[in-house]
Amino acid sequence: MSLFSSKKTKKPSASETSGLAELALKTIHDGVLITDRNNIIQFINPAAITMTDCGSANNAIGLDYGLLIKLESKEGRELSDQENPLLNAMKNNQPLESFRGSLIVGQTNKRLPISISVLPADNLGGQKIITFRNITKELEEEGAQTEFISTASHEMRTPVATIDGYLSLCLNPATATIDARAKGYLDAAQTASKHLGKLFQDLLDATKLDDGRIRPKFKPMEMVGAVRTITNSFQTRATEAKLNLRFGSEDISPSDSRRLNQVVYGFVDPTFLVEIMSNLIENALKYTPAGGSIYVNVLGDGDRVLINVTDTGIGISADDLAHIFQKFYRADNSDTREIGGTGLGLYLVKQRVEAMGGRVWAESAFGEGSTFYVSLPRLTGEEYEKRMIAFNNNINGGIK
Amino acid sequence: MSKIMVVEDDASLREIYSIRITADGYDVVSAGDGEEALAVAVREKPDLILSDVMMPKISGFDMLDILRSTPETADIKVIMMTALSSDDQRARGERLGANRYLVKSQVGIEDVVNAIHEVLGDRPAVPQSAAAQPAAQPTTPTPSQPMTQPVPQPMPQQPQTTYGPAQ
Repeated sequence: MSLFSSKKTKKPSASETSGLAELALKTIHDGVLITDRNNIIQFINPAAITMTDCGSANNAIGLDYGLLIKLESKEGRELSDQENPLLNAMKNNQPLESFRGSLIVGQTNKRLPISISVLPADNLGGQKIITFRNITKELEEEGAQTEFISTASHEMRTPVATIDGYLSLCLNPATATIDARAKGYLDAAQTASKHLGKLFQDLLDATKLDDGRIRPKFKPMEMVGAVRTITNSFQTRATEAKLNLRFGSEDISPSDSRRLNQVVYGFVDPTFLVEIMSNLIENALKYTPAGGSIYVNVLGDGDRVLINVTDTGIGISADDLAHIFQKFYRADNSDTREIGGTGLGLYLVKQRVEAMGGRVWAESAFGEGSTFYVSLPRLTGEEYEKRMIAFNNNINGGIK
Repeated sequence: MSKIMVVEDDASLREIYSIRITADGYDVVSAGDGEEALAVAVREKPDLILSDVMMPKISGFDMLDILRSTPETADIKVIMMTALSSDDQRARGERLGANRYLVKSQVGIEDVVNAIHEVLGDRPAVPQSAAAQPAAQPTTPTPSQPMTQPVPQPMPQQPQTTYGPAQ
């Protein structure tokens, strides 16, 4: 029996329905805007008026939506046109699903954390419906959760260090004498305790960015040199694992197959860059069997810095590919189960890349190797010079 | 024989460090907090102090500050250890005259022992394998490399035995 056919109640009339719809829009806390095909505001509900502090519907209707909805990144950074998903959705008449950003409130210095969506209407009018909601409370709850994980992970580090420390003493002939069997068991115990320690460290690292305790500290940098240095620091490990690790040449570049020894400038947090590249290269090392190769390359691709880490390893299936950047996700197959990992590495990479205004994605097929791409904002030579001067002035004149 | 003072509020970690450092031929004294450390430092006059930063009563930094401003202890070598890796912490350590500043999550106990040898100049730092010991080299008078790098060291350079998380 259908849920909808059981009772015989009087259906509301068209005008009653319209009245009900109006009631909904007037009452809800979510902000709603409707624009015409040219992005001019035709309708604004009370919640949106309040959140944007525009005073009244009349002040908003007739304006380009961009004059009312000014966004910064959720970390409070300016969003370039390229990085602004709202702008792109409105420009291209595309939907936008729940973008978290920071709304600049009216003419004030106040910021409101919001989650904003765009839905092109499916009628002939070409209108667009923008909805957004205040996520302050959500962020607080998430913050509390993050804080808990962070505190717990931090607390657990001392016992883990203690376990590892005593195991080291057992395994060191200068401080203890053990038989061969004990050595085997204790080695295994130490491996497990190191894994546990790494898990806590990764958790801590992931939460540090989540709860805003650390923010990127941007520095203008020459990217080719920086990434080369990081790559070179992995040479020893690559050689030990019988892998060929190369920087620069013979890579797979999605946009250009020429390889130029360029000088490419970016504006990044150096620590984040090290963490990102280390994670990607470590993954390549882990998931590529002996005899394989890993290529790391940096290119200037238009106004982006494009970095790729390509390996000839075990690859990632299409099913897993959609999920690998999620927290704790680990591709589960006989190869990965043996290799081990915390499932947080790529989540961390994505977090940090996005905090710097970049994008990370992967291309792979199971059994056929993988390529991870990182795209970051690029500076021209001139911009680099300017920012270096500003950066050095801050260092010398600023308070430490 | 050189004397090392270990300052660490966790009793187990204190024991682990003491045993490991003693095994390299040093005399070891210890303290459980910054206050005790100052008293022990004046009494025992260690050649080097290995100290945690986050401790009850007074922090490792405050202890370092007082050490450096007291004539009897001003020249003791100091290696600071911390769970925090922020640059301001490192800079603060440098300013207060720490000879080394190690981040717990990035170094293992063997790295700490190597650092002690390096700072005291009684044996050059040994890389991963326990190779035959080459001739000793003089210590650098200024605070050494790890504290002044503009770009942080990538983690994988650390040898196998880690104090905390695994590589």
